[in-house]
Amino acid sequence: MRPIFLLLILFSSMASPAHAALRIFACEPEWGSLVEVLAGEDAEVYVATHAKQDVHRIEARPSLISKVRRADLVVCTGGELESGWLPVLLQRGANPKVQSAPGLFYAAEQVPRLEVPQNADRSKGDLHIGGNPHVHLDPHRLLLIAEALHGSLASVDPDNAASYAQRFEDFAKQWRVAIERWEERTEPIRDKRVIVHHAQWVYLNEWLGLEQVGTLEPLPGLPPTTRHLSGLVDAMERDPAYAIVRGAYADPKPSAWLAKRTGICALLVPYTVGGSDEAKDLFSLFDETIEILLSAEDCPQ
Amino acid sequence: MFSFQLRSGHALIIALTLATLPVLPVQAEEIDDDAPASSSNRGLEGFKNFNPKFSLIFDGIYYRDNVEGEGEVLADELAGINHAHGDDDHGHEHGTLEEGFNLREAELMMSGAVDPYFSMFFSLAVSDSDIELEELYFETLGLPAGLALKGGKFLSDIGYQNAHHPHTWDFVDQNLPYRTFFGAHGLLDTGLQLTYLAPTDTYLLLGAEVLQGKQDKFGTLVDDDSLSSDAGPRIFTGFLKLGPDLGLDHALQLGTSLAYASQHQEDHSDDVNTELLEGDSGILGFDLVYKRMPTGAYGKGGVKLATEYFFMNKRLEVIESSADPGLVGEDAEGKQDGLYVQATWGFASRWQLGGRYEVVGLINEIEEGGAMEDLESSDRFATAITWSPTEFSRLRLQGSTGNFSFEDGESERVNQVYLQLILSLGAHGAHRY
Repeated sequence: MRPIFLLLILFSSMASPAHAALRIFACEPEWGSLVEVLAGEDAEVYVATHAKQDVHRIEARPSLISKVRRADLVVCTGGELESGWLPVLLQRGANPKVQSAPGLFYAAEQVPRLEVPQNADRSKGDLHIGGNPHVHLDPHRLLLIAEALHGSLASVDPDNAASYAQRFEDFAKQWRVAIERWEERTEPIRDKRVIVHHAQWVYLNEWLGLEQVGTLEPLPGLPPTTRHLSGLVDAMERDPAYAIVRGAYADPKPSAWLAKRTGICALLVPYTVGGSDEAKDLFSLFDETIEILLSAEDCPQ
Repeated sequence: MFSFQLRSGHALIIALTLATLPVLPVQAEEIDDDAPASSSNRGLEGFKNFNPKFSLIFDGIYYRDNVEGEGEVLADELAGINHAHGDDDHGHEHGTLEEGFNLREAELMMSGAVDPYFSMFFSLAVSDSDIELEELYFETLGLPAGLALKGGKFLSDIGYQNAHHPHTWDFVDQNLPYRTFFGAHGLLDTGLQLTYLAPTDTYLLLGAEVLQGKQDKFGTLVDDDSLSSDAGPRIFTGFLKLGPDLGLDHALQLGTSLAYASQHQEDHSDDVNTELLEGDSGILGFDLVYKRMPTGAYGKGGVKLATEYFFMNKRLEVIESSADPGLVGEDAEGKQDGLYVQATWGFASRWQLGGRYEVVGLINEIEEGGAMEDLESSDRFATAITWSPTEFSRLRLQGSTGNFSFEDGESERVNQVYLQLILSLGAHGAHRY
């Protein structure tokens, strides 16, 4: 047995690149993309999850611990979203650099949050006491996060501070132009009413002026029930919504069920980078999201 | 005893009071791109998660078997080299189930960062007759070069199942190999652990532990005037874990462990004769855990496969024998192994199906004073179906059928049924792989 282990050790140490400028561990694809924009070729970015996984339920698997062990910066959402796995990675990664800021960056802590509960009572579902952590779908908040993140990159890697600042300036310029474009494009759907699968769209809704009038989940984190969906059917008969929105990892059946009974358009929105073939980076994620939302006017199904 | 209970009671009250402190409400505000950076800190208060974290575990079980409620006791008395310690005064041992309703210990846990250098974990097992310190340990956060030090009373990191708390198990009960070699709780002791995590893409963890050796099974000591106990620590372990990177949807961990008890004593006395033995004991183990991450929501499509093998070798010397004084000084050597294989599958959102096969004593022999005795093996097959309404509650139905062999050569078919409810109140605990 022993020679095999030694061989594996040897192999794994050879397989790792001899030198990379900055190693960055991103919990979710949206932060991986943002880091790639801000750090460019100065960093090697590892993204721990993909768009089709439920980030509430990731396993603290050994390979993730190894990635944290060698990271110079860990970029996650925070706000309890990763509380089932990130603490284990940080503890067992045995890496003093990423235990706190600036080596540990929580995106949701950089911006004000919505849906902060008055008290953390789980009879209301899996609420996060710091508010809704799914912050990245508001591009204004994303810009604030980018601004703070480029500061963290500069603190962790001061030698390249100037290039991080430059990349942020470039990104901010393009992003502001894009925001204007998106806001103009979505003018026709402002004030529309939507039903969502899980309450992970509140920041998108707030930005676009969409009104969330129901969730397929009876409470956050609980799967849809027939009884709850029937209640939605009744409500929709009185006052129909514009669209039913779900993300990549959500079960498509409840949306389809409700769409069939109410005639409301069910939409699969990428939610994060990689959630659809077109959503390759942050710009295309928002482009794609907006085009899909607009498509409900003339429902693709 | 009274003062201890009083203090524990206070801790409980304090814990519950703190846990219900209202969280500061934070107003969401309009955001302006050009706002000064400081504005991005607004709303931070809401994130100051209360530190330390508290949680309380409820673990209730309805239990039935075909052997008048003795199933759990019999599982601890299987034919093997660790058997017959002569002290039957345990009666209904802590953690043993009886037919009907059972409330296993309430587990009160508290954890958090002490400062930037240490984190601490505390868990207390409370039952109607007993309060027991289950774990209390610190872990370092700031050591360089991938090193980490843990100290206090903790579950050893040997094997795979050992370090997992009962409420995170995939089955209601502990598997037979662990029960046989370490006891229902696994190897839990006071001492120090040093681990080294290599800076490689492949997860490679090396660890060593020195433990005091206060054990009921492995490295146990007998309270008798003829036997003395060495100064601790008396248990030494080493382990290696390897986890190749299989991408975002699969994970594998391979491990091997070694545990050595420098002193192990046994009392084989019966009503008439006294026989005392002393020596040392070693265990070698291999483990493999594979997981496929869920492909759907609420755990649907997740697969987990875990298997472990242990081999124990015990070398004792007869210290005292009233029946045959000639035996004194003779060697007694025992060898026994055990293995389990278990799999779980998230066949639907929130539902999980599990199966486990476990066997102890494929090798099962004792050689005493030149006489060799071969003991029978025991095995069991268990299936469990688990429904988890949320991550904080879990309802499980488990059935098992075992063929248990005993030292007298008899064997018995033991069928067991469990209905278990686990509830977790408080902080969302992070779970290890």
